[in-house]
Amino acid sequence: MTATDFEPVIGLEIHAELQTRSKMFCGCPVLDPLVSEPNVAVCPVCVGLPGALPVANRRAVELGISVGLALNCQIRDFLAFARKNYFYPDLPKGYQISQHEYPIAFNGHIDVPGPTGRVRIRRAHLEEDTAKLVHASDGTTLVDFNRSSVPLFEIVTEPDIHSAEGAMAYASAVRDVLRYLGANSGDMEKGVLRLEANVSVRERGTTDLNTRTEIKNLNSFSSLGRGIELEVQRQIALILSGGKVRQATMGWEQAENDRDRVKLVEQRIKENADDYRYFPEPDLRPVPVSREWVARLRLELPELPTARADRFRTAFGLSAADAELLTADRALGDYFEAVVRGVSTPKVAANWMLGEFMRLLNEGGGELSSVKVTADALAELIREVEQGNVTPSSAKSVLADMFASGERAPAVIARRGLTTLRGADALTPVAEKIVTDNPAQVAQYFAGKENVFQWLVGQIMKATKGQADAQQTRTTLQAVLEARRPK
Amino acid sequence: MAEPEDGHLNVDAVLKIAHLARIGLTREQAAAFSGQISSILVHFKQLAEADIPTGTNTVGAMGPEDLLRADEVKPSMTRDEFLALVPKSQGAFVVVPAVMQQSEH
Amino acid sequence: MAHPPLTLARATELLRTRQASSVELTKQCLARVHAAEPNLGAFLSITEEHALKQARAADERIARGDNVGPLTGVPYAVKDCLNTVGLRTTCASKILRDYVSPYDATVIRKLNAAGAVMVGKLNMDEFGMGSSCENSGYFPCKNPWDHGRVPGGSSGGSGAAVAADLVPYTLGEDTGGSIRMPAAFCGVVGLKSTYGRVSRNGLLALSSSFDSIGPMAWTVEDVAQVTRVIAGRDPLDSTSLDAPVPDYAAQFTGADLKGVRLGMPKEYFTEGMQPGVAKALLAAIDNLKGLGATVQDVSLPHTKYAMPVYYTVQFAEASANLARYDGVRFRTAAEADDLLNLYLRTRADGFGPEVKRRILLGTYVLSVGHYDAYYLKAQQVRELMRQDFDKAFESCDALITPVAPTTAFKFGEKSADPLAMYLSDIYVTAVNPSGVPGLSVPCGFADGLPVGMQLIGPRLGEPTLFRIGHAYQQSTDWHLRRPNSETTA
Repeated sequence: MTATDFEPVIGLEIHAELQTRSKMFCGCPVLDPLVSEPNVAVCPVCVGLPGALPVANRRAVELGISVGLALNCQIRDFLAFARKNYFYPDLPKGYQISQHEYPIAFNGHIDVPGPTGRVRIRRAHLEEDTAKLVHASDGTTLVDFNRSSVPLFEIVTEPDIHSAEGAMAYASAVRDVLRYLGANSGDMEKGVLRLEANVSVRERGTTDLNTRTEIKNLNSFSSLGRGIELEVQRQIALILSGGKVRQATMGWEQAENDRDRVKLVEQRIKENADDYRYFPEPDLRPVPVSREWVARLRLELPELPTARADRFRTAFGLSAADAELLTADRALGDYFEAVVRGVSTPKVAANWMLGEFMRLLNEGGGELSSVKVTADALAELIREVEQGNVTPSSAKSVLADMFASGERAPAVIARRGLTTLRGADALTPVAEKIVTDNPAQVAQYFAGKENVFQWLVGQIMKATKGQADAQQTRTTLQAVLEARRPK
Repeated sequence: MAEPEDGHLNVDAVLKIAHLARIGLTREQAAAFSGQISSILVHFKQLAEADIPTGTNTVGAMGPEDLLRADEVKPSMTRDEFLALVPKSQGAFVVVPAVMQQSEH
Repeated sequence: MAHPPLTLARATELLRTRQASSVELTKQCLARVHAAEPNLGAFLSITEEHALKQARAADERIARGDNVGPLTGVPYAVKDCLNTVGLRTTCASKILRDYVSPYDATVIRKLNAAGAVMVGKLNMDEFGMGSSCENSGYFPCKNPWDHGRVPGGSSGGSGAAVAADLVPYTLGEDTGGSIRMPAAFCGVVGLKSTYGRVSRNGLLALSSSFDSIGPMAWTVEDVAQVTRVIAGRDPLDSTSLDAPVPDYAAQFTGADLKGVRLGMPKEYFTEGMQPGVAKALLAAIDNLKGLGATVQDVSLPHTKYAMPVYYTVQFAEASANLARYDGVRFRTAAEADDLLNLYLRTRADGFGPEVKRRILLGTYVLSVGHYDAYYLKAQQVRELMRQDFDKAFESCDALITPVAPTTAFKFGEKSADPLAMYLSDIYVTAVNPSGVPGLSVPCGFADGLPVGMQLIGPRLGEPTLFRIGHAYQQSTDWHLRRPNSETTA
């Protein structure tokens, strides 16, 4: 047997922090971890003081249900929590309030673009996040409780993924859904989205589910892909050499400054599965989740990324690649649709968005919300080009100006005198001058060298700084030349 | 975990539970608990005699939908109030001693 | 005792008629406390400065006539399992000996708002785990009727402080008899409220599904007045009930119980009762009949499972509720070089043997391979027990039972055998798993020691229990008896 006789079998767990204002079980704020001071969002509930009781956050539940619906899940008709018991300094109460027997969402799926296809979602449930640990150099551990009890949504798949690329594509697709719903920013650097993979291998063509290992601490898509790749290779090599895969938790360690020297560190052999002693959370009475509530949330779901990309393809005639780029971000897609409403050709709008607009957007930091050019204004600029009031090349410079100043296109065009030169009155004098100034070339033209005409057009363009209307320049030049043709 | 016969827990079984519950016990202490715990468990085993009709619900009484809280920030403890309670702190952080190699969970 | 017995009603009267100020009442109260302690062992902390500050504020409020209620200016004390800002809360455990809560329990906030004056925190079995107060991590509490005997538990200090006439009322907490037992042993009234009637926010949890806070006092009327102030929905407690709180005392009907249907569960009237207890109870039932109540036999067939159901679930929940006591975020912590030893030593040093025993059992019944046979089974049988009560209340307004098979036992009599201690709870443990209320009312004496009767009602049935208890007290005088100075020497 060789490595190619094996197929990876992968299940993924995604932990997504839900973008609520307050925590899952108390009124402490959910803070941006990159800008906040440690231990400022604390209260008796989220630091587990004696006598404190949890009260569940409705918005977190709604976001959970919405994500579940977007992932085609069934939504349970009641909400019930459970305690997951273990000791660790990031877990103040000595138990985590989670969902065990009755996850709010279950039996769903997502259709991932590409060869991966449909990935089934086994379950998705609500829970509270743990505190943040920082390991100090003297061996002690520092604890910051700001993150303790932030709402988390844990999404678990069936082992339907069969490649590292597939895992990355799945994670990306789920991230897009989460961002579309405003449930999570998808910002991996802030640690708001965490990935774990369960990996095993089997002989191609079989349906066995063999012993699997767990890879944790994957905080980027690339480490997800690389980690899975390495683990699959490790397992195959082990089996081929006659060994057996043991259940283990692997921690991911990225070597600094060297993408290729990454390694899986076997953290612990899972001989005895952790005994979490789950039992129903007695401090939180189960609450009914009415079908009316779910129906309302379903109606409020935005068009999801894959469906939107399909629609852009078919309705606007865009390529699959362009459609995907324009729908990756919900706000960008909204912007694009607004632009399309104001122009005659969607494809033109797409070219502008994916070209010059995107370049300027990224140059300015990539935040669509801080861009001064509204969709309306961009559409207006495109119309100016369509109507011939400004040339395409001038228009690029107009857009840059609009980005900086926030002015509308007509104002910029007028201010900078970029209006396309048109009409005999404007163009004839320029054409006359060029013809007069270039007797040699003109002579060549009359001698039969057709392509000098293009050169002369170019000269007119240069002289008018690209503002001359191309078509009319040609006709005007033609007329001027004919008037001077030697008889 | 050693399966009790008729609910009897031996010393090793008691020590294992004590570790799960993070209570330090000597072997002597575990031995003392072993007898008491075992006789109590025997009593609990009576439950096996109860006849449970199918469909007996254990989910518990449902609360009203308005049990869920609105997503609002409410001020609570300051960091100083919190750190004043903490046995060991360092700057803005709570400090715990070294976590052993074997991760706790 | 040179002064007349101080009930809540009497204290309110004194204040209202300006015969005494709150500061005067409080100082007298504190003097009695200092005279009785530390010998009695009812108080874990005496909060003198705090009390006088509250008393002064109450006097100002009374002078202004500003929203003065039945609790304004009256001293009380509270079981040390309720958080009080700036003051120690220990739950009678060494592991909390240095703990000062940054927030008040909701019931404390309510009492503060009512102008009540808190003179101290009361002794109890450690973390509520016990039926005699012998499991306090500090010192035992004595029964004012006989200092060689236990006051009952776990709210032993709460019962003793009223019986010794130190304060007119106290707050206790009942998870499986912890208000009713000491009430019976100390000859006072105690209410285990309907689960969810009183907010548990700020109560150091023992068993989250069972814990119920309630008052203890000489009279049903006093208990009703306090209940009215502390009851009500709390948005900070997802298990608190959204039901209006009646003006309980206003609904009393004097001594007339015509139309009231009482049930005697036959499983509660078998052998095993001390003869004097049985006699007192049967006499009480005759008395209630004389007041117009009818009495019928009923059956609660799953009673024999009450003890395993109650303790399995309690131990399980307690094992999780006590996991937070780990020396990391609040005191008290052991010294340790590594995390594991921090946990192991803090908890080994800080918890008493009964607490350890219950945590071990609770951990066990939830663990892999045992959950179904113990915890799940207990929850299923619990549901059947709840159905038993619901069925009984179809034909009865309330049930009447003993509180304990004996009067107060001697120190050390049961503490050697934890199982024997658990079995002494047989009449009270079935109540908590079903969430129903239970009122213990003094109904006689046996060999000079108080006997209590238990009235059990349907959920939110406090008005019925109060009505029956109040009527009974109108026609008896057990609640007027006091431990005489010979027995309290």
